[in-house]
Amino acid sequence: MFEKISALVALAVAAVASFGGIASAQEMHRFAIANDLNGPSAYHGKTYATGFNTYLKEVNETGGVGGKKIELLQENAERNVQKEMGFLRKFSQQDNALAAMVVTTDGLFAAKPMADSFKLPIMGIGVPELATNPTHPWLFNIFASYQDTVFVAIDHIFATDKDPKIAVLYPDNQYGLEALRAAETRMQKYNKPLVAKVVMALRETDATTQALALKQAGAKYVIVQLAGAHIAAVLRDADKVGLDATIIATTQGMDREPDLILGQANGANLAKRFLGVGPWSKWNETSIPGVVGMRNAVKKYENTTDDKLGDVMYSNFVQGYINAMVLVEALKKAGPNPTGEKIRDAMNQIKNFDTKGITPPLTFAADKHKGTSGVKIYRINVERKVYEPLGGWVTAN
Amino acid sequence: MDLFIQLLLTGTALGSGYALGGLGFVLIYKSTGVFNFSHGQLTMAGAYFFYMFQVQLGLPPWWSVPAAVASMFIVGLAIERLCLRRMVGEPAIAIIMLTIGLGSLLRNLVGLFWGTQPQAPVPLFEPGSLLVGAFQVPRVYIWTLVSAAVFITAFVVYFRKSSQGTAMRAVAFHQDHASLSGISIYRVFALSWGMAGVMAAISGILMVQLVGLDLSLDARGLSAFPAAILGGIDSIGGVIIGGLIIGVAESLAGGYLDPYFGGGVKEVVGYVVLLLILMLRPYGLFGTPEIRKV
Repeated sequence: MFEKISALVALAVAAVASFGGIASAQEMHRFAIANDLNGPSAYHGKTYATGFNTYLKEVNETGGVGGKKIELLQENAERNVQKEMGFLRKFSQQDNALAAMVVTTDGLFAAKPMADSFKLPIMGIGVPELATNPTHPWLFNIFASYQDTVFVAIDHIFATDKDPKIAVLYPDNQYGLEALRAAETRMQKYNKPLVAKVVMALRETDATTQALALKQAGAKYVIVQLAGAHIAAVLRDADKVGLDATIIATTQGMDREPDLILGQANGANLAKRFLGVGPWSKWNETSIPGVVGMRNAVKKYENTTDDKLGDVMYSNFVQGYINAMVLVEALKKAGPNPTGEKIRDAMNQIKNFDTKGITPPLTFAADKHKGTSGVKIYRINVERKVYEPLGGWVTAN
Repeated sequence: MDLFIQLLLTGTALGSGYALGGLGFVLIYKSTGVFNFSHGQLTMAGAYFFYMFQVQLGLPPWWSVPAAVASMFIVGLAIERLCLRRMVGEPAIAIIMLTIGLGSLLRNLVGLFWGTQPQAPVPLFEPGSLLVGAFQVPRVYIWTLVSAAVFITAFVVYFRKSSQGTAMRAVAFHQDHASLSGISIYRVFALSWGMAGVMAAISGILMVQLVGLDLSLDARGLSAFPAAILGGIDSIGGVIIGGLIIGVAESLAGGYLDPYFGGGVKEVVGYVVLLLILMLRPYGLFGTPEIRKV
């Protein structure tokens, strides 16, 4: 008798639990990211997710979309491409996610041939041109690509120096090769070769040998497709070995505040050799309405004061915030009972989407999956210890 | 020639940091017979303590050095007391697994407390270069070498001349005999781990001056491992030479081979050199051959 009652109770609990699970899944719209939550570069994914969630909190507070709140599901793929692919499959087949994100550029490339089976719009923290050029039905770049940043960097150099000695410092993976390809392509426009192509692994924090190689090659401008810590290392070691060159950071090279550069011996002088090219505005650009709104959201939801905003909004926070903005817009356009396919189609309908100045207006179409090509050039303001733009949005011709 | 000299200087400075780290590794092995695979993470933890005292707690930069060193001495003692002492008499593989697990725990704790992003401690050494002969030598290299030389000398003197050092050597030579002579084996074990923590901290702080601070510093710290094996796991002089060889090999490989192979040679060259030397001298350059009479 007792066994029968136990079995009935267990059955009832299981039924309620599974029904509850279904109800829960139906109550929320879900986006998902195969994130990197530990390891030396985890701050990329973590700050991206914080930015994404900050925007979702704003939307959820006003009732969500179609009466349902939105959540970001995170799994830890640890920058492992195989794990990223595994989680994309899980997001698609088990989690009913409406769109998915990965951290690595290599992950975006790996997803290309499998995306048809996932049936999810996929985007990355990495923004390689080749993800969306030629247009892939499921892959999107919300922002200007790495190629755009390299093009603008080279155009900027040639605007002031007619015979520049330009080199590229890059990691030997898809992320690095994107910059190398872009630089070689752009240099053809000016009929000049790159004076050096030097490899530096992402895990490396000592750039002495690379700086020596660049010095040997006579480089005067070095486009660095690495992360912020590497930029600081390159500036430090360039100074150490007497390499007199301007160091130009691309998108992820400004993935954190310039404190790593300014914190070094001779930091103020090192900062003078820095230029950055980035596809979204920085948290400190308070003349931009979108940035002001984003700062207010952070103060409200992250319980942060003005003087601590930089601790939260550095790195890829802004990218995550805007990415969420675009996906929520697509969700609104997708109508009731959204699916990955409907979100993809809705994204294709987004035209001149206004991020209130955080990026240029974003436009997508069935044959255009990159929202914009606009970037800004930055330098370091030593007194305020922030990046500040040299001008407005620039688009490579 | 200029490139070669620059690479040599870079490698020597880096190698002196490896030598210091390797000393801690050798010390543990000599005194307790344990291969400490968490030494890289101890090095990283020492560097993060330095950062904490200097930047987060606002201590003057140079005062942060003894504070970090003292903290790591306590960490070393705690590891011995809480983890290793319970493992006395257990199979070597169990102890090795414990140190590997300890390394993973330390790495995650550092990430938890200080975040995974790179940090920016205030440099200890002034920027710029000095003219040595015909070459501009960065001051940071000179001061790193001088600091490493001072600490290594101090350690060797301590190990050879102090009563604790004598006790350590006695335990290393024969634990039972040392115990019968009235030496507290557990006290020596604890002191060895504490001293290894000190060496890891100094090595970590010097590394930070050369390569910056982030979670990948544990891989640098682990370069002490091939340095120690290369020199001879039970030889203090050997680990110093081993550290310098590994540092210079990494630097030369980075300068001359990486451009041809697309990078990555620098990271493995230390282990290649280790393999080659062990094929010729299985006990390392200065290790003591173990002779078993059957």
